[in-house]
Parts: sequence; C-alpha cells; structure tokens
Amino acid sequence: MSTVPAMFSNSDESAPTLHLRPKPVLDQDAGRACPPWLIARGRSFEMPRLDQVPIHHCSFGSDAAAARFACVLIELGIANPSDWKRSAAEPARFLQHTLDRFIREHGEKEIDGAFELSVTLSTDPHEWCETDDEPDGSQMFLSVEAHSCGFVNLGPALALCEKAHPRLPATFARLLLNGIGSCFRVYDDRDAEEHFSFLEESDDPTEDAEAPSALPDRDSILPPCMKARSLGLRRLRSLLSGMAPKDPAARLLKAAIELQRVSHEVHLPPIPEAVRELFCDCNPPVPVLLAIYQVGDAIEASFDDERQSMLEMTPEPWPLIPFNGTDPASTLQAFRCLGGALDTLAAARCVLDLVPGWEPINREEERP
Amino acid sequence: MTKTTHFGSNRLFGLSKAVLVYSDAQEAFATVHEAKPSPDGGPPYLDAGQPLTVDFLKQLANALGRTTPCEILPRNILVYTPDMLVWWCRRQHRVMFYGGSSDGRTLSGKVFPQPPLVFKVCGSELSVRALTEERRPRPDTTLMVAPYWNCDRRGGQVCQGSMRVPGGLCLAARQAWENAFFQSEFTHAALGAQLTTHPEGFLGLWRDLTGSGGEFPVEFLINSGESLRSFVHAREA
Repeated sequence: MSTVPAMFSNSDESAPTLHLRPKPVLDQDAGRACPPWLIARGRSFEMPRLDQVPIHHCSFGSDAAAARFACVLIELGIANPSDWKRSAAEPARFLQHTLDRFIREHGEKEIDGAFELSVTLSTDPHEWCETDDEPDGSQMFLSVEAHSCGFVNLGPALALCEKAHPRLPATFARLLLNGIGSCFRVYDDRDAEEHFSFLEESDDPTEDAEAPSALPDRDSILPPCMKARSLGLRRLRSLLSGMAPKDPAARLLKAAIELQRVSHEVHLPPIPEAVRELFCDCNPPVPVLLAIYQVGDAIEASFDDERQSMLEMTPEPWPLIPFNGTDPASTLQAFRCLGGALDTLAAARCVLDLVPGWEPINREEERP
Repeated sequence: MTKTTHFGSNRLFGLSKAVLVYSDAQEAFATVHEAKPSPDGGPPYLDAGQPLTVDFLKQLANALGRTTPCEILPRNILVYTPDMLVWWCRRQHRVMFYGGSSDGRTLSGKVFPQPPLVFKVCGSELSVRALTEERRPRPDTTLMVAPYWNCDRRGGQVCQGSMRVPGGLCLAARQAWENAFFQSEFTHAALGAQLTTHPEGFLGLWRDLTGSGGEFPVEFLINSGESLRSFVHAREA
C-alpha cells in the first residue's frame, strides 16, 4: 500500500509533512456514513486523500474538429507529434501543449521579463463572443492581450545616444517604439500628444476657467534631443561603422535595428468587418509598454490620466490574427504572424536590457 | 505569460482547490486547500487549509461566471447584473432577412427603418420590445410589441432558431446580440399574434417600408401592455 501524504490538523511551519499509512478498510467500516476512500478515519491527523478523486474534468463537444486542426498543425510542423502521447490523446490538451511549445520557442522567457501578456488560440475572437455552435475550425483566432503595461524610462538611453550624435536619440527612440508599435500598442509621446489635444478640444472654458492652465505645455512632451529628425538607415549604419562595437550607444542602436528588422517581417492579416464590429464598444488595447523620457514627464502624466479609464470597458485584444484552421496556408500564415510578433517582443527585450536603469520583471519575487 | 486554448466547448479543467466544510448542529466553517502534486508522483494531496474568505468566494464566483466587472455604464444601458443585460437603441436602418420558404421571402435582404428598440438578454435568452419615442425609457414607459416575426408578443422573447447566440453577457456584447438578431432569418409569426396595426398587416407594413429612407412609423406599433419595469421583472415571474 502506498503512503499518503498528510498534515497535522494544527500544523505549524516547523512541523514536517507527515506521510501516514492509511488504515486498512475493515468490514465493520462499511456501514459508516462517509466513503472510506474520501475521508480518512481516525482520531487525529489523517487527512482527506485524493487517490480516487478525479483530478481532471474534460468536455469535448468539438473533439473531431479539434483533432482535424491538430493534424493541420502537425503537417505544418507547428505541432510536435510527441505531444500527442503527453496529451493523453486529448485534442484540447494537445492544442494547449502545442501553443505552450510554440511560445516557448519564440522567446517566452525573455518576453516574460519585460511584458505581462496572455496569448490565446481560440475559435472565438474573444471569450465573451463564444457561441453555442460547435465550431468546425474554419474561423479561428490567435490573439494577444496585455494584463498590465510594461515600463521604460528612455531618458538615460537618449543621453548616451546624444553623446555620439545629436540625431541619434530620436533615431533610437523611433526605431524602438515603431518596432514594437508595428504589432502592439505602445504608449508614448504621440499618445500623450493626442490625449492633450483631445482635452484641449473638449475643454469648455465657461465651465472651468483654470482647466487649460492645468494641461501640460505641449512643447514639453518631447525633450529637446527628441526634436531632431531621425537618421535614415543607411546613414545610421555608416555612423555605426565608425563607432567602437562595445560603445553603449552603438549597442543600443544595433539592437534597435535588429528589432526593426524582426518587426518588418510581421504582416498582420486584415480583420473581417463582422469581427471588427464586435469590438466597436471595447476600449483600445492595453499598451504593452509605457515609454517616457523623464520621470514625471508629460507622457507619464498623460498615461496616469488615461489609465484610469483603460479598463472601463473590456479592452480589445491586439494583435488579433484571424485564420482558417482547416486551411494549412492560412494556419501557417497566422502562426508565422504570432511568431513574428513574439519575436518582436523578444527583440525589444534585448533593447530594453541595454537601456541604463531598466530592470526586468522579477517573477521569483512575485511568487509567494 | 498566460497561454490559453479554446476550441468550441472543449475544456480541460484541472483540480486546483478543495473546500472542506466543518459543521456541528448549529454552525459551520470552511477551509480552502490547494491540491498539491505528490512529490513521489502519487495522487495529489491537500495542502494546509486557509479559512474561506469573501475574497475567495468572489474569485470562485468570477470563475463560475457569476460576477459583473466594475464598468462605467454607457448611456443606453438600462439594467446590468450578472444574469441580465437590458439596453435600448435608437432608430436605425438595418437589413432584414426572411426564411426562403416564408411569405416574407420577397422582402429578404432589403434595408428597412427600425423603431427604437429595447433588448433584454437573460442568460442565453433574448427578448425585444419597441419604443414609440427615441429617448431613454423610464421604469413606467410603456413598451410596444416588437414588430418582428419570431418574437413572442406576450413577453417579447425571441425564438432563436439557428441564430448564432453570443456567449457572453458583458457590455461589449450588445452589438453582437443586435447583430445576431438582425442577421438571422425571420421565419414565422407567433401563432395568432397581431404584431402591427398596419391595415395590410405585418407583410404590408414591411413592404411599405422597403428601401425607405424615412423613419419607422411608430403609429403602427401595438401596445404590449407592459412597462419597462415589468419587462425587466418578467424573468422573476
């Protein structure tokens, strides 16, 4: 008979976990009210055992379609046939293993250090759009949502770049922000600009005479070094060739160029009008990153103002990649998009690692 | 990173927690225990218990879908609870579809003006009423019978047939419900139910309105005998 882990009924932290042997079930126990396999008997420290309690519950209304989709993923090399055994031949679990593996192979660890995301593979564009119909897999979605907004103060990086060339700060910042922004929502000076414009336009001077002066000066959104024009890629490469490879500014810019290269390979497919309509009452997506140029600057103030209403309505997922799971070409394109989007974030993480003062999210600290 | 897959009704739930309830004849208390994997690969065991808290119950209710997120209500929301969403919408023009074998088939796929409407979603059931005025109804506002086939005149409940029913009951799903209503085929009238006072009846009403750029003639609506208050409370009957 195997041992059963149990605990003292009044355990304290110093008490070790006990492994007790359950008492054999005797004939005279059969008449007792509680099932002998569920509630252990005895006077003291025996605890409920779970050796006959089902630890998983599955529902499988769409198994056939899910299995067909799993075959498509295997044919495309996206799924690994070895996962089938691990999944106990359950298509739902197989799809979960496949998504886990796919994300792991696209920089999950690096991304987790900088961003708080969830990735979903679903037959519905969002959990609240679920229908009662069993899907055939012809309409599927890969989507990403940010749980909360990452953060970076680019000020110290801009200072490094400015020492090398007056146009490098803007070049670096735009490469970074546009690179991530091509696939995800980033909150930066342009959002602050837009927000302050909106506040100015909606301001009614008859209601509150002091309101306009409460708004930050629009000119202060960008630091002076960001007002220069960005360098073109050719000019930038030529400038970098003259810099020492270990120069911190050169390393920042090379990482940003790589980010731009990776992000340019992602081409998000259009979202069908009917799906777009579903999100017309949603809030915009939660940004994956807030980028400021100085602690307490106008961008941070604008974000603080906007974030209060960011979750008023359900935020839209972004990117949202629709595809036909019965069509290998469509499926391949969708997973390539997701892979490219994740690679973009992993490349962004490489840039952030080089920004002085930026610190990765410490997941160990978050665990109890 | 959270990774989720969802394929239709396929779900995979893993045992995560157990609630143990202790009671004597008068009182009870409960503890929550995490199910931990056994280090030797055997069956999982229950970790030390924590007293059951209101926070835990809220999380549980949330996971079971019995909660309403804290949201600012848009102006057209009338009722929003974990079980019910009621809203109204202004006059609009919408394409309507009729079943191919129904008397309305010649009207199918054409654009028609619509009256202001009140929608009620209760679980997965949809009910619709019409309004004579384009303004937010008050609790005592009299609701009119929605002039549509597949709608029960008595309670406004929609016979959904093959309608693609949105699964959620959140604010953002309003548009999906309205679309589901108008994008499915109207196939039949409720037996013996008068839906309009138009002299030529239901088909005459919509035939007159085919392609009309004007407003829906609310004078042809029929009083349902129900106020907004009774429409909302009807679920409890």
